[in-house]
Amino acid sequence: MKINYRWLTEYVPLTAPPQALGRDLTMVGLTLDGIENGGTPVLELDITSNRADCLCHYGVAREAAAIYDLNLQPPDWSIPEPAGEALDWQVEIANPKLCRRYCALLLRGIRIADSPEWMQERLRSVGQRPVNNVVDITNYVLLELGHPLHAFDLQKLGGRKIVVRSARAGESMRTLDGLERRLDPSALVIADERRPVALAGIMGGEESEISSATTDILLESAHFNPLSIRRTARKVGLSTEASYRFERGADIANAERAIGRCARLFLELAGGRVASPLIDAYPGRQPLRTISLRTAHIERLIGAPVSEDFAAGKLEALGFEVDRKRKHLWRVTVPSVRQDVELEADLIEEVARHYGYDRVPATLGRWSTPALLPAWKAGETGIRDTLRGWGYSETVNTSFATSREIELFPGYEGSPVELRNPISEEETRLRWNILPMLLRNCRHNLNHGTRSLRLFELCKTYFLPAEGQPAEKKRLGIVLTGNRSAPNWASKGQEAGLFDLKGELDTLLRGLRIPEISYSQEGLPSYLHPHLGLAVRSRGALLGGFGRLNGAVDEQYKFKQAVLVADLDLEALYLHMQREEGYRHLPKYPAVHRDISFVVDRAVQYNTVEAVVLGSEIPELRTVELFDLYRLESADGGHTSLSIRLTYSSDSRTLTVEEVSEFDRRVIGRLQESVAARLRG
Amino acid sequence: MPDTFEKLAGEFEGDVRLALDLAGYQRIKDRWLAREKGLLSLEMRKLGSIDPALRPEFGKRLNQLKARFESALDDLHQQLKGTARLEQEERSRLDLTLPGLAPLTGHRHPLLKVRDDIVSVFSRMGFSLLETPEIESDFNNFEGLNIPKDHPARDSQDTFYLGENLLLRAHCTPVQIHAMKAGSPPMRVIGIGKVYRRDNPDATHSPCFHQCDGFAVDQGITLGDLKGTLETALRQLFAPEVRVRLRPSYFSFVEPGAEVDISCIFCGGSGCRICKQSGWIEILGAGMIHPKVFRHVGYDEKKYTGFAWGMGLDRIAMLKYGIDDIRLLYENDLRFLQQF
Repeated sequence: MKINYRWLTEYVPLTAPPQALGRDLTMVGLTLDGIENGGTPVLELDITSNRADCLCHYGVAREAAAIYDLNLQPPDWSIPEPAGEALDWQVEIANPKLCRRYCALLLRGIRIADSPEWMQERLRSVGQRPVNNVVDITNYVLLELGHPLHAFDLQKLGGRKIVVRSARAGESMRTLDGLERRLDPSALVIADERRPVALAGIMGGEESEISSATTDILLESAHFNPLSIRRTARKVGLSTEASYRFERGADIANAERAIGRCARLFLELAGGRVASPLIDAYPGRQPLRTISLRTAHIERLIGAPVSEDFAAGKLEALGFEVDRKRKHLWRVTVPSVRQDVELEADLIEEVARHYGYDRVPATLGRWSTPALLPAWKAGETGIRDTLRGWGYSETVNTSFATSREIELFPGYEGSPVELRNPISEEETRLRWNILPMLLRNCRHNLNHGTRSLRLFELCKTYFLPAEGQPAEKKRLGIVLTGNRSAPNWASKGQEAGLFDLKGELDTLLRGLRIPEISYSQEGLPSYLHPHLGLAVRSRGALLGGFGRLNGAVDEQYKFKQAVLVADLDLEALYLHMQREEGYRHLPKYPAVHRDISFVVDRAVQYNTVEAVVLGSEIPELRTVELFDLYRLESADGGHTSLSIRLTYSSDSRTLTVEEVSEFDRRVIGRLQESVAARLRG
Repeated sequence: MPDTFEKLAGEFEGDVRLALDLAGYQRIKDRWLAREKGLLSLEMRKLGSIDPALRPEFGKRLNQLKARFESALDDLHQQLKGTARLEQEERSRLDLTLPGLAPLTGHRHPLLKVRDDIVSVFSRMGFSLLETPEIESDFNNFEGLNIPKDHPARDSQDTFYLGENLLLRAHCTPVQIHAMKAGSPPMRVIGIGKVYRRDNPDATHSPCFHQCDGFAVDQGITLGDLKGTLETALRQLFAPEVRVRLRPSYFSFVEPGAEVDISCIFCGGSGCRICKQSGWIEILGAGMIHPKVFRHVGYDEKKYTGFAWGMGLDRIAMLKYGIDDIRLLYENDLRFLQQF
């Protein structure tokens, strides 16, 4: 809202210069965006949507008067008396719900000319283009009092009646901008006896437009339903100064003042005479709102020592009527211009903003409730810190997905959630599987020259269950490709592989104290390589899967290097996390290590070997660790050479050489029996 | 015979002077002090052929010589060992200007850094963290928060809809409805997460972004408490010298409503392009919880008051780190992430 500083001083005797005024207006809620320093300073104010009353110079003047304790000087807005022969016109409001008041005044003998320079200059200063005296005056009053008016060329109107009604199906009219518009019954129109002559509250019709030949005018000052104006304006794609104000709720009482002020300016600047009394159809007259205000609550809510006299004074300056008969409970009458004030809290805001938010002392308040973090937060922090420590960077992606991604990466349950009104043609669903976005990140970074990356994301995925509302579940997604350690001058750097990922996930899960972790190749998701993927479970419950992407996905993303992913159910992880355990005594007696190397058939898997060793029923056998492995090819299918380190210890004594050797013999015996192990040197 | 001893001493010293390394030292030691064949041992055997009256003196002087030689050889040994060590160290000398072998480091995302900071700061002021759904009902997102049915924000223009009365939350403010309905006052709660608006992505808009909303409800909560709490938080999130300004504004779920500015972190408040010469940067919206919201959740508005605020994490991250395009926050380019 542009406010011409000098124009403003007509209504309030300001001494504060524009900069200071701007600052003070900001501190009562009319934010200064900037000051244009042309011939006269113009303040650009950002008016919040609840303060329609400040969309004009007089409204801003009222605020200024309240700030500086000055007197407000209204212009003369009394209705001028008719002179000479009175015309007999009627106004009929067919739809009083959409139009609660319609004032009309007739003027004759008007001479169209340029408006005086001072008015043109003021209009121009606030971005309005001068046209002629009649149009300029209606615009002037709009910017002065905030009420939209419209002037019709009286001679272009048929009959002696104005009807405010809904448009009829099939009706059309040409608006001032020259566009022919089809009207439908949702639009409110101003019509004469023959046809619509204006789109009510939005734009006048071209036919009855003021021209240089106009001598007689019907001046309209009305009040229209904000919702109806908004809907119609939206439908026809118009936004005018008038519709803008009606949408925000113009003051119904102002209609009369505006028409009076406008008429007086016409008489002064365009000649002519008033040819009718004020025609005022006012079906929607409502009593002014009164609110009870607990005086003690003012200080209680604000937290500053606001005196009652101060509060009453400011409210009155702002146009409220304050009845202080009852000491601690005032009855405050709200002026019709302030439709935004409904409750006690609204009144207290009026007092607070004029008291000055900056004067309110800053306190912390008291609290008596513990600050709690959700139970899963510790797990989340653990996962993020651990992965970051291993060189993974955390990503944040948006929540959308394309159909292609939905196809390639099915979700975990239900069906994908559709957006009814997506913003892009491709991203019409919500993320059903966590990985596609991470692969987008991977693709992006590979395109920009990175060879190695490790990324992870903790976020929600969305699905529609068979029955019920869409649901959200948290997941952990990981993607890695390239080197597992940075290549440098000391070492070449190795390619990250499936076992790196397996080791990291295993360590991560153990770190979260997830119990009974097991891996299998059953039930792998379709996007994983069938021979290079694993599902991981805890106590048999599926936690997720990981591995290398399959060829089809690689092709889709044009990956030229191996890309590994992991996809875990975060909520399942949090569920399976065990509590911290207590301390376990350090061993009193030394442990003994024995290394055994042996060869088995290629087909023998390591978990079998491990199970055989651990199944030896030797309580003193604490751990078995694989420390060397290599494949031997041969004509008969090939073998694997394994070297394991067995660790023995007892809680009650130092083990003897003989005991340990006996243990070894038993373990070796079992290996020979169960998996046909052949010892090596 | 004194000549013999002097001669021996002289020859020994000559040998010592010529010893260059530990091998040389060993040769001298063997030559002079070896048990069987060492020169001093040989001299000792001559004792038998010396005049018995002179034998004690001879023996004594020989022993003195032996002690002297042993001491000299010890010193020589120490010296040569030190030299040998130095030589070895010299030989194994590395080019220390070579770069260190850096481990892999993971990086934090700036949005999540801001998020973690916010949770931490408000936790310290008694706020509990509550996560609420991104998929919301119309009531929780709008009606319960006193946003009227015809408000433009409810348009399918601005909000993503999933179905009748089902949408993607446009702000985190629904946390108020969830928390207040689930519990009873007093309470202090914050909620953080993704929010959605139908904005075309550009340098300052993303259809999916992040916000944090918080509120406190108790008897006797004032606007002053709101001010103090936010000042404290903002000084910790930005810098201790940051000034905080509350000015009146309007949001339908608070009354009185306010907008909160911080002194421009780029120019310190003197005025620059970033703060449009005003010296202030708008950072969040706040106010006292609207009585209608209390009515919706069934709290006695005569007894309780509360304050609430909402801030955009993207905006804060962009201001704090000077990031000029919001899309960078969702692109996850490593060259960007590695800066944090």
